[in-house]
Parts: sequence; C-alpha cells; structure tokens
Amino acid sequence: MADRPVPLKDTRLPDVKLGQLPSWLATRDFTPSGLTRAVRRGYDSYLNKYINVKKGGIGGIAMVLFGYVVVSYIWNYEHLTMQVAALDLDSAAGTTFPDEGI
Amino acid sequence: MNLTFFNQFTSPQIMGVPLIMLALLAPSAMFQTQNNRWLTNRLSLLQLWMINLFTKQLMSPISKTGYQWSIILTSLMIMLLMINLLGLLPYTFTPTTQLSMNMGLAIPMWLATVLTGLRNQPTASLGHLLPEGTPNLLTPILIIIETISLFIRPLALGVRLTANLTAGHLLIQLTSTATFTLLPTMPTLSMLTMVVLLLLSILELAVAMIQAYVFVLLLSLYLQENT
Repeated sequence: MADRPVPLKDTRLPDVKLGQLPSWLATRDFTPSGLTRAVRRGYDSYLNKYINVKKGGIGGIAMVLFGYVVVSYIWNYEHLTMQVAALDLDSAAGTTFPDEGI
Repeated sequence: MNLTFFNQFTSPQIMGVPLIMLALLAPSAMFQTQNNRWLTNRLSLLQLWMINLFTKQLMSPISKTGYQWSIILTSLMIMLLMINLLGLLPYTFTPTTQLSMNMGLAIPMWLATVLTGLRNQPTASLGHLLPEGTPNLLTPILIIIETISLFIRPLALGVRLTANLTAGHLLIQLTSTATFTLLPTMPTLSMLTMVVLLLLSILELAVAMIQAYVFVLLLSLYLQENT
C-alpha cells in the first residue's frame, strides 16, 4: 500500500496521522478562493454520494436537516440555558407580559 | 434581563456571526444548481416539477412583457418557502420573523411594480386610482382612498408575513410551555399535547403564507402591466 511516501500536502484528511495534524493544517490554503474551493468540494462530494444517485431516498436531505438542527442548537446554546433557568426558577409564573417590541 | 416570550426572536450570535446568516444560506443548500446529466436524481426531479408547476401557475395571467419578472418571483417564492419551512425545525431561526427583512423584501418589489407601470403606461396606471362606474360626486374622495390603499400595500405585504410567522412560532412556544408546566397534573397534559400537534399542522400553513405573499405581489404586477 505505502510503496512511495506521499508528500504531506497531498494526503487526504482520513489518511493524516494524528501527530501530523497541525503540519497538515499548515499546508492547506486559507485564502478565500481556497476556502470556496474546499466548501465546493465538500458540497459536491456529499451531493454525489447521497443525492445524485439513481434511487436516492429521504436519508440524503434528512442528514442535512438534522445537521442544521444540531448546528442551530449549538449556536443557540447559551440563549437556551438562560430560558431553562428562567423556567426553573418560577415554574408557573415564568413569563412577564411582553412590553418590548419585536 | 427581562425574559419574555419574545426572546426567541432575537438573532443569536456566536463570535459575532449572527445565526441569521446561516439561516439565510440554508435554503440554497437544498437545491442542486447544475447537473450535466439529462436525467437527474429524484430530489431534483421533485423540485423541478414543483417549480415548473408553480411558475406556470403564477405567470399565466401576466402579459408577455411581464415575463421578465418570472425568475425573481419564482426565486422569491422558493426562498420564502424554504425559510419558513426550515424555521419549523427545532432550535432553528426564522429570518422572516424579523420585520426589517420582510419590509426589505416588500417595499422594493412593490415600488418596482409601481414605477414600471408609471414609466410604461402612466395614464393607465394613474387610471387605476379610479374604479369604473363611480358617480362623479365621489371621484375626489375615491381617488384619495385609492391612493391610500396603494401606499398601504407594501406595509401590508411585509407586516402580513411577519405577523403570521411570529404569531405561529409564539403560539407553539406558549402551548409547549403550558404543556411542560402542567406535566405534574396529568389529565390536562394529553389534551394540551394534542393542541400542540394541531398547532404545528396549522403552522404548515406557513407554506400557504408564501402563496399569499407572492400572489399579492403578482396581483399588483398584473394590474400594472395588463391594464
């Protein structure tokens, strides 16, 4: 399998060893065009693997939607803990009349 | 901080990046842009079929000069549809609950229709301010009333969308909070969960909301371009 050492720059992420990770990250280009190319690559690979198939099922978009929910939860985390704290303090009267606008 | 039920509509931020950006970009991830094949996959087929159906339905009453509007109206419809539907998922943020965004969509579109009509057929579009067959005595009053109704249109468009979505989300939060706090007392719980479920299915009418939005937009364009 490993007949010829591949330069670190060209290895893909699943093949990178854990100790080599920082140096591998240093070889990636983080310019805007590089980032867009990477996002495009990820999008295309996901699309071709799960959606652009002859008999695609609901799993393709379901994974995307679930990932979206998870990311939204992470983004909202401290806001949600604040709401949970308010609900626990006074259980029945946990709300006040909304006196501020949207 | 005063914790009210309206706190769910504040745009959460992480490291200064508001969630609204992700929520606005998410619909674009659902649609495949370019496929070099003749026969595409099932998802694209479904989406294309729906888009074709909708566009044909939307554009049929409009005259030929109005067909330039087809792409912006269809993309607007798809964007609002996806944003509202994605907002029904748990923990997600719905950008269309913000009045600023809806007015930002409504006012320029309405203004474009008005200006198109005034530029291409000024007499006809001014003539819309007076319906046919009104008695001569009522003419001044009616023109004032029609002008007011013309200027109310963008306000109505934006506020309608905001109010519908905000009210739906708020109701869901209210009923689910009530269900949660009444959990110790069992008999009312099952009825309340049923109410929550019913409300969620009613909230699928967010989809119908979009239809209302674009149809009203269409209506104003229709009046301008078709005489």
